[in-house]
Amino acid sequence: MQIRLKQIIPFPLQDMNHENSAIWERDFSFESRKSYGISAPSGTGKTSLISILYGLRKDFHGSFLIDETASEFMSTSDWIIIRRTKISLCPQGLWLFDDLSALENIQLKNALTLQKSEDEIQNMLQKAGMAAHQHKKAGILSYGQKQRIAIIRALSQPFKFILLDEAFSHLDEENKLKMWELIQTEAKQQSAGIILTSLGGETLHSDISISL
Amino acid sequence: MIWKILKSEFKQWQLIGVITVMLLGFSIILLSARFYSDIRPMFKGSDLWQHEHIIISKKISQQNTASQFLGKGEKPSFSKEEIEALEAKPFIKSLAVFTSSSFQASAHTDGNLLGGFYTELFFESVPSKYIDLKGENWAWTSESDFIPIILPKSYLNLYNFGFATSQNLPQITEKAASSIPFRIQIRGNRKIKNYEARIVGFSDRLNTILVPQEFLDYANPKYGTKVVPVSRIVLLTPDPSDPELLDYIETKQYDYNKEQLNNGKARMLLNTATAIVIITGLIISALALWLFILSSQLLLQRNRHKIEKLKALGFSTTQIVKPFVRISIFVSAAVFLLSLIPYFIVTAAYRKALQTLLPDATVNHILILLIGFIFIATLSAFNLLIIRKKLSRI
Repeated sequence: MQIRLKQIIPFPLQDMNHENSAIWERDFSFESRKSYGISAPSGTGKTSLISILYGLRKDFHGSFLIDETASEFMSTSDWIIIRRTKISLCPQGLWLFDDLSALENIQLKNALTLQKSEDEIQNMLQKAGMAAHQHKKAGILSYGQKQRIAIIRALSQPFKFILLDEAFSHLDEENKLKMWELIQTEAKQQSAGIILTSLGGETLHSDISISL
Repeated sequence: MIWKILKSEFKQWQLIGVITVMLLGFSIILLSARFYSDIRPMFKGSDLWQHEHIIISKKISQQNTASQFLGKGEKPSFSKEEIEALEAKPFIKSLAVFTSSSFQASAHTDGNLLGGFYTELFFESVPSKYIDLKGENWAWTSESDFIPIILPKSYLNLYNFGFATSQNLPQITEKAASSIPFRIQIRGNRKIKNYEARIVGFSDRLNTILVPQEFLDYANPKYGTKVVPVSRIVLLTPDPSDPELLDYIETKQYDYNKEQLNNGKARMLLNTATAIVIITGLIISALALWLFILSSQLLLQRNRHKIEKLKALGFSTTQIVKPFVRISIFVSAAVFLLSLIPYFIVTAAYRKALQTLLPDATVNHILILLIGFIFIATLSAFNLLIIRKKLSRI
């Protein structure tokens, strides 16, 4: 799968200078099977880009195509299908439900497509070091623990691209590597691309580094 | 699982409040529908909201009677001016005069039927819109050989409960009386004509032997010998309890059936009372629906962020609306089932009294409950439609 950006610029960023940007007001293609690391200081539109690619924001000039369908022709129900089967997101705000347990948060998402078996979910929790905390309410977990649950949830669906918006910000080096490995394994299995944003100084290795 | 997410914002007392108010409104509607369908037969053959008929005539005084015996003096009748004055009154919607037959007429049965019954009689007619029971036979043209006749119900009662009982004769039902064919002979102007005739109905309202207006319009000039003065008038009034109307009738010294007028007043009162109860029920139901919608909206608003998250995770509106559907069905079912309790208790209580008034009244609970069910299902669907619309906009 391919995501092709055509001269995209969010309204709030249009008066800024984008001479050095590889994305804004440029033509750019994301290919599946590759990993992209987007590092930039805050305020340059990392989350804006993720939101645009996930169909959450419409306030931008330009257009982008998912396979051959242009963004302006995609309806709400098209986006529901894309979010279930093509593009997975681990948002910066995590979007966990505090009233549900960690495991239930994952199951909620998995129930939409039944991508993972119970065993596979347990296996991922184990690898992330979260197996012991799976029955705790998400609301009482630490932010780093929440991030790991949100990543596992994002992996519990079929996808051709996975978007990770500062998904490792509260993880120590060891956990960061563990999760990165989990993501890469899953992406490889699904022949999917990875789009990862960070504040810069990222130690993880991605195929292509992009600056905004 | 979605319900588990939304439920923390859900307040139980709110649900109980909604159910209570809806129950109140719905029970009132259900009971007034029951009541309405129970009392309808009392006004059989008439529209509940029709105008009231009053028949007035001139009072007959003793002096009057005496002078008529002596062959002098006029029979009391309405003059043209009097009729015009009545017509102009605002409390009278319309009126019609009774036309009397001005020829001689007799009726007899064929051969042995009823022992060769024979009687002299007279006819009267009013335009057909003043007649409460017109069958399809109530038509007459100059080519017809058949005359339909309506008798006062009091005649039949007089025979059945007075004459037949005391003389050991069989009692006759309305239906049996209507099936007896007899012949009418009319005479006048040195002409004679025979007609077939049959009783087509018994009237509560009109106390006379009625034939179609068209028949008298045709026969009076042909066989009649004189113009008969107008002695009775039927009035149509929107409000029979209007004091102006009663005052007018009193001052003019007209005669009228007080019983009938009281009936009319009672019916007016009943109509008004029923209408007020139904309207109250509808208002309460409308308020309850409003409360139901409002609390659903509140639940929706409180959960707005959660719903946004769910949608972003790939949940469809149909999936998210499901818990709302469940609440809505639960509320509707609870209201409907709980309303059966007051419904059956109250119905049982007043039906005993009704039974004596209308012994052959049948109870159709199924219809009322079906209408009630459709009513509440519609409200529920309406609420869900609004919720769905709101949800798809989040």
